[in-house]
Amino acid sequence: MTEETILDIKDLTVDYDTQGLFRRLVQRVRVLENFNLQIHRGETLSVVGESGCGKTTLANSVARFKQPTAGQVYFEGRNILTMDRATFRQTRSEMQMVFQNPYNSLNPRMAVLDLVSEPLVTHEKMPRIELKNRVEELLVEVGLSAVQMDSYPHNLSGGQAQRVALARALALNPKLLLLDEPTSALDVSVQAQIINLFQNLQKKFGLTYMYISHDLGVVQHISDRIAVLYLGEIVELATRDKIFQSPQHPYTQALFSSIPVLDPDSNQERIVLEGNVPSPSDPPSGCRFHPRCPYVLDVCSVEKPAIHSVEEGHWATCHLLDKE
Amino acid sequence: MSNETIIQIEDLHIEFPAPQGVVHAVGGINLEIKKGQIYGIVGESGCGKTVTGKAILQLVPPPGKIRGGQILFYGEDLVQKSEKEMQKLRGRKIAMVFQDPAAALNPLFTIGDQLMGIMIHHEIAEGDDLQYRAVEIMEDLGLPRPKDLLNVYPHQLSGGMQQRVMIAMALSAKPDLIIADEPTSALDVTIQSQLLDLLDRLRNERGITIILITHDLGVVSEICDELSTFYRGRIVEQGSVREIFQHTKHPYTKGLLGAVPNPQYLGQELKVIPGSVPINLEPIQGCCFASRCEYVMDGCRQSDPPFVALNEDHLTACYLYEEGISKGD
Repeated sequence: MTEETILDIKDLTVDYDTQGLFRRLVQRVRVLENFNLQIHRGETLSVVGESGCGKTTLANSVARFKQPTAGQVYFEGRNILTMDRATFRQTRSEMQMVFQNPYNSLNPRMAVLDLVSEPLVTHEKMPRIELKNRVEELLVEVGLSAVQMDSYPHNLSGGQAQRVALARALALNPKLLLLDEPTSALDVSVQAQIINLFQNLQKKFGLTYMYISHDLGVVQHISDRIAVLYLGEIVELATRDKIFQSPQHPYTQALFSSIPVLDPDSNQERIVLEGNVPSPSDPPSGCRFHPRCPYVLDVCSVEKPAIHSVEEGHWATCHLLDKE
Repeated sequence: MSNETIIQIEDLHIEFPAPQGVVHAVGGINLEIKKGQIYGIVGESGCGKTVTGKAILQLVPPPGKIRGGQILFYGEDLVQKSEKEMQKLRGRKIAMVFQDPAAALNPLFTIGDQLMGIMIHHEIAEGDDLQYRAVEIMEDLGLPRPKDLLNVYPHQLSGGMQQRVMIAMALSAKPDLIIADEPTSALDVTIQSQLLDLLDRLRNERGITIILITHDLGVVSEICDELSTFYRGRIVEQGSVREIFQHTKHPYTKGLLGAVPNPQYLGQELKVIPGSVPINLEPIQGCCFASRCEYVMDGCRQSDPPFVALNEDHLTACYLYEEGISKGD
């Protein structure tokens, strides 16, 4: 695999403002701060973390659904945050998103044919006669058939609906797909079908995935690299095998140890973390994980840990790594 | 674990009338739960697991009805009981914990009001004792600052805390049996770990029997003793967790296990059960899994395979197997 960067997120800061009467600013919650991440062409990079850690905000900012406060997002070398609308429209066709719940993301009043042809009409002005063929082609690609063209989302099962959402995303031949919890609303047996589909499509079209999920089993299965997020910060980043075999950050260790194992005789010790993820509106001082960390040191509450490179392509932010 | 049977379900049928016909949500299930067990009910959405849990409490949502069968609780048939008799049992002897605690807690009352309300209703405590008992239960469950919690409203708590409050409420009348319906599905993994530990401790320290309804086989393998796999309102495999995970027999259970990403098989395609769960509008002809089964034979579509005991810890309803022996693997 080439190490060419397709998406480069630099110093991204995203705030959510709570507004009171007459748009008076009541509170500013900083969800991401000086966030950096590079995604290589053709890889699956997973972003994992618990709810409220900023995973979805990250995807929304990259897709420009949410305007960041500061920072740059380079897609194939061009900063998409400073593009004008017309130029960004062009770029967005190369960068598509698939959401968690297909019944929410698909318009219930549109038939599958219209749903899948919509991007072709608005972006490519494809003539009507060609449309039907192209839609059928796309449906076959995602494991459906022309039979479903006249169905409405409520006629479809969850798995079929998610396939339609995927066909829509593929319609414009994108290079990058932002997948935000795309299987968490599905049953296990259907989830497996969709995951296999993602992997086959990636091989066939050379797609790049940014995969956002809290399901670590799925993440381990499909990722090339994994970024672990805690309260808006990456605490560890490495290739899949490195991060599962030798997780360095205490949060990563606890997170991975809590994956239920399919073996009743397994004596894997679960590291049970105390307490909950703190609110991003009032993040802890120093290392953001220190109130829940089983190995907390004095320095942790005072000083933010630096980025430690464990080896090439594997780094973590933790004071425990200072000593070595 | 004792040998006393706490729940025995015999040939239970539950039906829901629908515009297109009758939906057979549960079609003749049998299961037996011993005191002090954590019993897993596993299956995909729409397989009848939640409605079975609700049927034990006689809370099948209308227009659904129990059409036949028995649910014996310490030998007494709950299906025959009047609403009044059931009200005495609910919460007192059998309690339920729901998937979404935010929806199950009343947003207008404080945690203290809701917790103490149950104790007043069941005449467990009164007067000054109430508050003391409420704090004691929450302390036992490891809830931080239980005294302050009494005056807090549900929306002020995180999902994990709300779920622990639900468990505290379920425990407040010291029931013998807790039915937990997907108690961790709405929660993050680190919080799920905390709750699984808590359920395990309740069983070990207080001998409470727990029915755990879940779609997550990993959770079952971690804390359950026995399990039943549900499919389309039937049970297709039943037995001890260790036996079933190590010698999975029914093609559906095999399919479910294969569909979960497993670190042992990294880099391989996930095994897939083709299609999706059909709706039970018509009475099922033959085996309920025949339409999706990769080993399907002619006989499977004609008659329903009976349960065969492969050994004392393992039952399955599949024509691939015969009493005591398995024909193929």
